[in-house]
Amino acid sequence: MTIRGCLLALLLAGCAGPMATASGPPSPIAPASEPAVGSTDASPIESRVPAASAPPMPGGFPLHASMTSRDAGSGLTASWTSDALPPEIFDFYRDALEDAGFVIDLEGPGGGAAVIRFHAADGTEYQLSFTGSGPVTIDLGPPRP
Amino acid sequence: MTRMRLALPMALAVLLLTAGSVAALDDYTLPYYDPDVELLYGFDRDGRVGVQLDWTGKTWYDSQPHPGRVYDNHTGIDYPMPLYTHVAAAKRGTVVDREGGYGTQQFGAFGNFVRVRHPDGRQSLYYHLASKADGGLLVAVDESVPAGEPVGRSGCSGICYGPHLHFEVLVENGQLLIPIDPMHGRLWTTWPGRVPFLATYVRESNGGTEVIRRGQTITHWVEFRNRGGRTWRPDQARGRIALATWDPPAHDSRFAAADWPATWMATTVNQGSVEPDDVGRFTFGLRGSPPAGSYVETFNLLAEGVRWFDHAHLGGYYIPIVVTNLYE
Repeated sequence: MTIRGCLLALLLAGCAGPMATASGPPSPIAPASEPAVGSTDASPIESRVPAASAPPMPGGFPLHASMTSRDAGSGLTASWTSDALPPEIFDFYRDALEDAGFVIDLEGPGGGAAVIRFHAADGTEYQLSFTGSGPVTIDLGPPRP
Repeated sequence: MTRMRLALPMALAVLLLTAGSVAALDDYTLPYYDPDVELLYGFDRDGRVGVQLDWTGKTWYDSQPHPGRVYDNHTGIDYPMPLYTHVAAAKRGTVVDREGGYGTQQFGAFGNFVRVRHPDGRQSLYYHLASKADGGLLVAVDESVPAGEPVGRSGCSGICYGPHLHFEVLVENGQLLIPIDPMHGRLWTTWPGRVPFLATYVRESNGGTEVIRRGQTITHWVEFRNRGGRTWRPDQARGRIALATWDPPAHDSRFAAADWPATWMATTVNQGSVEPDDVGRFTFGLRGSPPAGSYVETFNLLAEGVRWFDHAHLGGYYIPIVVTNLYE
């Protein structure tokens, strides 16, 4: 699995972390309907995960696993939403990224938006952007200015 | 308690921005004390969704937050800081409204805040504060606050992703309060703003050990550079800049001389005013009162009645003192 694939799998499957803790360590395995992340196809690929199989966010909030994946040569871009509270989402991904071995370069919580910048062991840099509050839109991509 | 009435007619806000005068020295300062706190998101001067105009004049055509610059429809400035960090009045004024009934980290449409009206007709808003029960509010409505006074402590109440201060400057327009961009309007003392109180050590009359014969008094002076945003003065009712004992703060000194204003305060700043970046001198006596021996006396700067300075930035200032018997 590519780093990008691993990252996206972590970000999705990692959402099940709090539940998985009871039965064992969370597995960085993406849902079966995970889009073809890292595809060389320049056209957007959209995948909708059935709500029933979507892993919950912390606090039992459902993850609206409506996700768009795109690789147009400028890096991974994926977007999904959640009805969980913004601070819970922010804390969850910060902790999940650290637990998965990513190095966080910037924690940027604001009022109506937030950013987490991080990099993988190979030095590849990413950015998680959070906007809105009902639901929160989460975007994964390369660091933005 | 009145609920804030905020509006954002951006065209009017931009007009006000461009018509605003460049601030005089000793105007607004940053609304906190730690010089290491950094701006994360500034004011969006473009009211359109998906388009942001940041304080540098750069326009962004997306909906992404840009750390260090802006995010969409943001009407203030976000400064991440740990929970319960002290928040400072950016300018002197009177508290006109406050709210402290929400939980320190209670997410919702409304949060805790303090709002201060300033003599220039503007108001400043300190938002997302901790709850009143958790000590998030340090001032009351109608209370006068000097510049740099602690007005509250940070939290994450309201719409908030993590602990930070949302600082906002507003102008009154009838019943409306219109947010403006203090960075673009250059309301701060120095670009891009300074914390109210900060100083660094420059030199002193004797950088080594002071030797004092028992019962005698020597004169000592020390100079600090004003790295904060407020002008130092020796004669204000509140906020005069003094050199006082430290570790523990304001303890009675065994070396207090006759010229000390108090047994814990060695002196006030010598000059009538010390602007930001200038050097202030503090001259005071040291009396050899205690028995012969070796001592250390530690001092810090104080904005009296407002705030102690960061002692670490003064280099942990102290004076080694040796008291000798008269005929040694």
